[in-house]
Formats: sequence, C-alpha cells, structure tokens
Amino acid sequence: MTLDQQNTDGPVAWGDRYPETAEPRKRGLTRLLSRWRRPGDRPRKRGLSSPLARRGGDRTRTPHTRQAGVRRYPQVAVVVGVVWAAVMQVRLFLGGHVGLAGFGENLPCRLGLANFRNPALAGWEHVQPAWIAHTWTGESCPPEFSTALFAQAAGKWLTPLLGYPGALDLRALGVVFGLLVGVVCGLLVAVVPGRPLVRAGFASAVGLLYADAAFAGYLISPHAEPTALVAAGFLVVALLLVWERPTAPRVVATAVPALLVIGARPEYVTFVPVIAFALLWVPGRRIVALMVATWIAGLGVFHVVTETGFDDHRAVFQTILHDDPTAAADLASLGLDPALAPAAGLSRDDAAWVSFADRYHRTAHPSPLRVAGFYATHPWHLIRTVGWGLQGVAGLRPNYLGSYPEGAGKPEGGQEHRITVYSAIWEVFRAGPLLVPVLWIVTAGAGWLVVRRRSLTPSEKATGRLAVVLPGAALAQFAVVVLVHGRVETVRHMAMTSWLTAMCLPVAAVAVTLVLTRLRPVPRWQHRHESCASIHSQMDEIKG
Amino acid sequence: MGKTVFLWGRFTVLLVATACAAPATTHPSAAMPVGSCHVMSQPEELYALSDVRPPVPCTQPHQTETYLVTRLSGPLADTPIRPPHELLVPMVTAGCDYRPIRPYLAAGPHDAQWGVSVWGKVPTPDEWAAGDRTLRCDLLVPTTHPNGGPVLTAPLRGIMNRPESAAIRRCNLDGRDVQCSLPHEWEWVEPQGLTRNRCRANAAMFAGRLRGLRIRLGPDRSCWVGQERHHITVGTLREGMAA
Repeated sequence: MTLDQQNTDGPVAWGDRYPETAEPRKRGLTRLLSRWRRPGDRPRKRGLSSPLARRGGDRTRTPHTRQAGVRRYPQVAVVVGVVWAAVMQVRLFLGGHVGLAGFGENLPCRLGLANFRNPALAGWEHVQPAWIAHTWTGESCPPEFSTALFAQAAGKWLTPLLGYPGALDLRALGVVFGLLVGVVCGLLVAVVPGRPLVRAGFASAVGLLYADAAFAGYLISPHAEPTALVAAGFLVVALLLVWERPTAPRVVATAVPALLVIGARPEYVTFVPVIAFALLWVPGRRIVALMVATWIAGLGVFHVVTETGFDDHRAVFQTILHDDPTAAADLASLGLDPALAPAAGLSRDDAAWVSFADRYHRTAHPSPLRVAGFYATHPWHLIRTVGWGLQGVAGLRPNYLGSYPEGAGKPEGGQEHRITVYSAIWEVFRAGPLLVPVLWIVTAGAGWLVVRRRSLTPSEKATGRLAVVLPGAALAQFAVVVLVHGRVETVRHMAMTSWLTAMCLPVAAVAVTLVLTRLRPVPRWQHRHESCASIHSQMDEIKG
Repeated sequence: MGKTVFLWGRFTVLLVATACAAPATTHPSAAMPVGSCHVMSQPEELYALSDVRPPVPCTQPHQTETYLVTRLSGPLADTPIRPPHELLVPMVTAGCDYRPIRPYLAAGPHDAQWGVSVWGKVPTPDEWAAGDRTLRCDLLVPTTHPNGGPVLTAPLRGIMNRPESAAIRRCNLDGRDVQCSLPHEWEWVEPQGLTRNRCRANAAMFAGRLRGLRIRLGPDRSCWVGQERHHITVGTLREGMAA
C-alpha cells in the first residue's frame, strides 16, 4: 500500500513501498527501498509535502494527487488494446469466418429469431450464423432468460449496420466481442503491476486465451458462454481496480460485469460467493461492498431459482449409475426406486428408457443437496465423478461441434486451429488431468504468498488476490457442473471452468514471479506503526 | 456522470425493447379441426409437444396437416399436470391411428404414400390443467429440396386424386429413392411381393396403359414402372395425372 492511498481507511503497513521520491538517491531508507521500486509505481505528481502532511489530510491536494502512485501507461494500454482487437478480428474473419456450431441452442428465439440453417443437418456440423425474424408461439421457444440476450440484442441492432443478412448475424457479435476483448486487454495493461513490457505481456497472455481455438469459437455462436467469458474479463479488471483502491464507484462498477457473468447461465451462480468474498476481502468501503454483494447475491439466487430445473436423470442415471455394480443400492440411497437399476446409464433418447419412464416419473426425485450428500457419503463415486469432471476441464474444447460454416470446403464437424497456444499447453492436462487441481493449488498458494507480503504495492497484491480468487471460482464452478451435469457434455459445460483454469496460467506466472523476486523480507521495524516518526525523520532528511 | 448513466440506461431499455419479440397470437389446441394446415418451419416447433399457432389456408406454404383429432385416454390422461415428454410420446403414438391416413389421402389399392410421417400434438400445460385432452394427429410432408425443409402448398386431403400427389409418391433415380416431384426414372406401384406378370397387370391398372412403359421387379419383388428408353421425368404416371 502506498501512502497516498491512506484515504481507504485501511491499516497502513510501513513495510509497503514508499513511492514519493522523484530522484532516488541511494541513501538511507531510499536506498533500501529502491530495490523494490519499479517505474510503474512512481507517482506522476511530485513535490508533495511530507508523508505526514498527506496522511493527515492535506486540504490542498487535488483529485490528481489522489491518483498519484499508480501509473496506467495509457499509450501502451491503447496500443495493446487496439492490437488485440485487431488480432481477434483477423483471427475470427480472415480466410472466412469461424465460430462454434449451435447444435440446438435456441436462446435467440427469445428475441423473435430463428436460425436459418440447412434442415438436413443436425446442427453440430457447421456454424450457422444467420438468424431470421420468426414468430414463435406456445412452448416451442422456452421462456428462459440469460444476460447473453443483451449481447444478442445488440448484435441484432448491429447486423444491418455491418451489412450482414438476416435479422441477426452472429458475425456481428463476433465483431463486438473481438473489440471488447481488445478493451479488456487494454484495461489489463492499465491495472496490472510492472513495467510496460510486463503489463503488455500479461494482457497479451489473456488476449491469447480469448484468441485460442478453445474459446474464440464461442464468440460467433448462439451460446450464452461468450457473454459470460468476455464479462469475466471485465470482472477481472474491475476486481483488480477494487483491490488496488476500493472506492465506492469501483465497488459499484464491479456489479455490472458480475451480473452479466452470473446471469448468463444458472450454473454461474457459483460466482456469487466468490465475488462477495472478493469485494469484502480488502478493507475500505465495506458497507458499499456488502451492499453490492447483497444485490449480486439476490439477483443471482433469483436467476438460479427461476431458471434452473435440476435434471436428476443426468446426475443419477447417466453419471452415478454409469457402470455402477451397486446401482440398486445407490438408487435406494438416493431415495429412488431400486427397481430402476436396469435403467442405469440409459439416456432419455435411448429406446430402452421408454419402459422405465413411467416408473421413473412416479418415484421420488433427489434434490441437488441430496445428490451432494450422496457423494459425501460415497467417496468412491465422488472420485469417479470428479475424475470425469477433470477430464472435461482437460478436454478444453468440445470436439463434436464444427467451427466452419457450410460451404467453406471443410468436413462436417471440422474444427479450426488458427491459434492454439493454450490448446497446445493443455496437452499436458490431457495427459494428466490431475494436474488441473495442482495448477489451482499452485496459483492460489502463490497468490496467498503475494497477498501476505507487506512490501508489495496494492496493484501487486491485487494480482495476488486474483491468483487466490481465480482457482476458487474455478473450483466452485467445477463442483456445480460436476453435480448438475455429471458426465453429460462435460467439456462444453466446463467452458467457464476451463477459461478460469487457463487464466490461472498467466496469473500464476505473475504471482510466482512476485514471490520469487520480492520475497526479500522487509525489516521488522518497517512494519510497525511506532516507527513512523523515525521513517519520516529519515525521509525529511533525504528530501533535504 | 449522472447524465451518462441516464443515457446508457435509456439506450439499454431501447435496445431491449426493440429487440424483444412481440407476443404472438395463439389458437386453442382444441379448435384445430381435421383438414387444418399448420406452419412449422423450425424443427423446434415440430418437436414441441403442443402447437397453438393459428392454422393457415392449405394453399399457403405449410408443413403439416391434421388428419385426425381425438382424445387422450388412459391413466396418464387423468393426471392434472401434463406428463413429461417421454411419457406422452407412447400415448401419442398409440393415439394417432394410422388407418385413417390412406382414406384421408384418397389412396387407391395401387397408390403408395411415401415420406409422409405422423406427428401428434397435445394441449399446452395450461390447457391440460384446464381439462383439455385433445390429441391432434398431423401428417408431415416430405422435404422436396435437399437443402430445404418440408413445404407443401396444397391440401393433403384427397391428394392422391390430384397431380400434386407426386410430392408424396415414391420414385427412383439411379438406385436412389426420391419423390416423384423430383427427376426420376422409375415409379413405385403397390403392392409388392408379386410376380412379373402381376406387376405388369398392376402397372397397367395404375397408369391406365402399358404402351410406352416398361416394368421392373426389384430385388424385394417391388413393382416399378417407368417410361421407355431410360427417360428421366418429373411427376407421376398415375392414370389421368401424367404430364
């Protein structure tokens, strides 16, 4: 924490770097502290009065002096943002557009749209970006809500402006999402710590994540994931800003990307406790943070209650009972009719399921809590299901959904590999899915060490906090997907978990670097408030 | 700041308001008579359990036509809440009797309908809760274009007596079955499992002539009739309907 941020009401740790000296002279305290100074942490405003004057509330300070101590490198941020926005456009559109096949995803029907596709195809084969105006009646368009509808409504508005055919062309969404990825990268340059090159490198690692074949396809797809993934990038930026200096506007602004993420899919309700924890972690503006967390929790819970229908068939018959030698006993444990044991592993589309359908619907159905309780008391089942979940995360991208449009000369279900940096790294996790939790633990551990170092700046500590929160969010999301979807379409349902896990790589790299390079302990006397007078006297001496 | 927030809020409201779909007019399930035609251009509409879109005139493009309206019966029909999809499908399959189909199409003993499938529609959950147990049985016409959905602009009732019946007759081109409204070489004649002489006699009764025609007995003893000299044609050879 820098001294110019004491208006956050948080405790002042004197071991934190003091950034005020414009011309570091290698004397006394300045000499000691200069080891940790980097250009990014120098204040832009110079000639401030003594720390005590500032700490005591210098009435003459301007709004600019409140910002002192945090450099944003706006030119670098703009360049990085523009470059990544351009990379995303090129990556999505050069040589013909690519995306992800919808395969029955009909969310845009809520906007009065119907997919214009070849009816002879099932939907997984190709990207079908064009949607036409259509009047839906009755239950042919389920009344589901997702914040992705906001993005799709914007795409509907942009489609004619960009010259695309139909009422909504998903390529318009691709343009918008690509630009927003550039904005996320630019903002990351402004908020992460380090030299410009380090910041640009970190932002580019995040840009590469969005550009990777595992996630870029979502940006031109009717799924809800692209809205959540892009909003998650903004959420990371917002949290870094809050952790850097928790002002009321920053805390409130976090609610926007948070709600966009949580409202995209019912499973994303797992972000509610994570975001609440993140907002309340740092001292300062806790009342506002608590209020925002309450709003987010309320809306998130309302969304999940109104949108979720827990399908115990997937969780029980296709997951727990899959290749289960004790199916009858397990059914009894779950409160289901043991006579349904022969239906173990059958999907609803299976012809053999019809003979069990009546009995299934007449039996009691377990709640998600009951299924969770079953896992708690049956560790072997828990290990099996977690294993399938880890394989889903390690899978990274659904291998049955095509990337190319029809007529592009690609085979049905053909997948693009334009940028595959993370996909290539993921070969390690495919070989050993157990490395996924190892990555979570390493990231969280490094982050925790960073957070505990008092000698680091708020922005550095914010990166540490991000390293702690990301694995937590990934783990919570992983748990819910495993519980609700089991081993049914695990890879696709794990998209957010995979994204959060992949984000752990650059964040862990920064956190580990901070741990390794800034682990030099700060002398104990610098940690104590009682030493303030001593430090101030030295600083006054240095400044002459 | 406040003005910016206000402008963004207004933009968002406008965006959502203009993007959201206007509520569609609906038609009660119980008020769909036999012979009504229905637009179901999207697969989701076809797979939905109920259909409350108002019917269209059968001379307009449509996908299905109601050939039977009956009532669901049995223990499941007594439940106050509509049973789920997997339980309703067997009820619908059993309830939609196939026997009225050929009379509805006016199919004679040598006419064979081909590519026509049966789709049942039940009341919506609200209609079910109100006591409606109407079961509507529709005929879905086959797809005539390889990249297009099924579309018909003529009523199916009595279609076998009209040239439009080529859309639901079975023909063959280079060993591939197609509708007779598409280019073909051979046309199927009911019934199958016959001798060559019997096939010849049936073909004569089907086409009203034998001159200029040839017959072929398939490996499954199916009876096919075609024009001479590998003539590729469109339409049916049925007596009185040939082009």
